[in-house]
Amino acid sequence: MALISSAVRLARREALGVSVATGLYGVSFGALSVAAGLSIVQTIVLSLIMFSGGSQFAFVGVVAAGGGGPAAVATGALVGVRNALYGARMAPLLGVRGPRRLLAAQLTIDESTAVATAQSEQRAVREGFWWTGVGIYVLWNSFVTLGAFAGNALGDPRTWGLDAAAAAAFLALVWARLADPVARWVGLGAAVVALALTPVLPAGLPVLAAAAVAVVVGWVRPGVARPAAPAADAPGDEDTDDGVRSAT
Amino acid sequence: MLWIAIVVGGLAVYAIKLVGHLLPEHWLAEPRVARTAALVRALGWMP
Repeated sequence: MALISSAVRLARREALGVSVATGLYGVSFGALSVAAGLSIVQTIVLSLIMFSGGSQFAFVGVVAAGGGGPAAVATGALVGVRNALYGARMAPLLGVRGPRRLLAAQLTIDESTAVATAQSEQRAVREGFWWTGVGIYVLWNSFVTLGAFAGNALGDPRTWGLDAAAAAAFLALVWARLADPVARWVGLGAAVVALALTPVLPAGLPVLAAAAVAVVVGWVRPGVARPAAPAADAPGDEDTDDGVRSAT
Repeated sequence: MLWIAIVVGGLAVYAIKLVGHLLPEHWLAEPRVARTAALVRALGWMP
């Protein structure tokens, strides 16, 4: 244990904190899913396979609104599109092949990617990803199960404020990234778009429109946002990564 | 019927994650792709 660097310890601590905050939020999903009309088993199976909070909420939201299976699938998948970007970012950093790559794909979500890319050493990047991914997978699905069983006994899960706790934990993670002025403006623009569209679009779609702001800015303004240097691509250069740690 | 949607939806979301992991690395070296990915990641948040 003495050989574990402080950066790795920090990554694990962040992973556990985010896992607990996000995992507890699973109660909300479990209860909402059963209220939407999924059985307890269906709720658990959906969560185990889909494993992406945004997509799961979007899916049961469409079911609850009577939107039907195909619409639920399409909406869930649409909300999950950003995970492809996370996967593309994580693959070279993790450097895994075969079955471990299949597992890494399943654990590729907002939080695991955020914790990993906030680290400044290659080993810490990898540990941050795996600890967060496994931690959330176990805790999230445990609390989804609990929420599904407790169901209506919990009342409206939103009154618990767990959604705010999960959001706060995530905001703490991405805050350092907003040190870059362009990222800050993009974040502000995306927030405005999301807030404006929330009353008129089905759940899950406003966040996609917000992400589109980032896609457009990244695409049409060459040179404005310095892309984060992938740590694993530059051996011996791990400490510089993208400097987010020093920005905190 | 709902079971089919659950399994297909779950697999679709998984497939999207896997596609990201399997993208050729040289695509990502393209500066515009890297910039875009970095900005989207900075905004990433579970709704």
